[in-house]
Amino acid sequence: MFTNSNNACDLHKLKNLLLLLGLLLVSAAGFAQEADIKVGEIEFYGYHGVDTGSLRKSLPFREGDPISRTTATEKFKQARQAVFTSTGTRATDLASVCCDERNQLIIYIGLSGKPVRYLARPSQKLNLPGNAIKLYGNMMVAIQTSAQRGAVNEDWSNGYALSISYPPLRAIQLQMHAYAMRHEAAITNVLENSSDDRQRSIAAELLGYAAQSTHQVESLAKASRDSSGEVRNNASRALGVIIGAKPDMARNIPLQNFMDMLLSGTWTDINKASLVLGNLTSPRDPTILSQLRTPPVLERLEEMARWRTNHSTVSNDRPRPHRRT
Amino acid sequence: MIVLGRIAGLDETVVQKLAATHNIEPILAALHTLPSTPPPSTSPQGSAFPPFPLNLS
Repeated sequence: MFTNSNNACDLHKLKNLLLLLGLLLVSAAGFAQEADIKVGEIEFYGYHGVDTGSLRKSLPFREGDPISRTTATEKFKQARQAVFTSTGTRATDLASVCCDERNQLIIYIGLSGKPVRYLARPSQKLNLPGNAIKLYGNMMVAIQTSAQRGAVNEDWSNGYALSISYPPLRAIQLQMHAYAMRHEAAITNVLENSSDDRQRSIAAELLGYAAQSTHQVESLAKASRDSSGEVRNNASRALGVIIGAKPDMARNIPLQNFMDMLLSGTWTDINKASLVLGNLTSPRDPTILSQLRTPPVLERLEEMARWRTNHSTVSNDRPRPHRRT
Repeated sequence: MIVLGRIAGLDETVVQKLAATHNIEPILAALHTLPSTPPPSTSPQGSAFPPFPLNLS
């Protein structure tokens, strides 16, 4: 439910809810600390023809169970095996997201998805300067702190995300904006050509803080097909923020990219595609809405709409102020 | 849910109210009334998704 807003003053209070930089993938890195966290919701997608009730019972965790960094890796390994045993196919993804309204973990399990052809990894050895990398690192730390404090609201009215509930994060984001305004060409070069996934990921985040331009949007749109999920995640979120503030920039965004991503088996792709599509459909362009009226897209959107957490509305529907996804 | 509501042609205010209450059924009902739009969950050709992935990186 994204509604365009150029005025941060009409922001209203939201629940404390955050996807820690979109999400915290479960390779155990999803847990910010050792302490147990409860499993809030277990949601599925790509489940047509699957008895999710039986599958749910076969999982090694239940909603309400405690889970920690130390137990997560094994639990998720067991969960993947349970999916394979129950369905005969491998899970396309298993992602944990912190957190729902009760500060409990959300686990998304992908059971199928359409193939997505990503771009080949670039081959040049290019790195961002150390200060840019440090900025990104500082931002990540600040995001984590803000999440732990429930201070997760953002203002997107400038076309880039600025925290409105955690001043230290906002200060870093303003530094990122200043950096990106001065070094857009170098950032874009790294995003498009560096062989290092992390470098491209940081570049995607930084480019979102540059001046809005056709070239910026085109570079981010291209990066939304990157071989790295983190790059796709950062680039797509930046695009979502840009067109949320400036809908006219949407004309440079290829709809098909995000329809493909929505049908992916990878949760980050689905999450960010739905963010972009939510904003792309805000003006209700009949052509765009017509293109989305295909059974696969409707099926996936229905699955997401049935998720019980507000994360489905984080993705498709962006209340004000915006929660970081 | 909002995207579905927009595809279904529902008024934005209605869509947002339905989303706020997490009430998807009126949206699905509206989708079913659209010409030549197969209900997503009852598509005769079955799932739109192949069983296994996929990412051709």
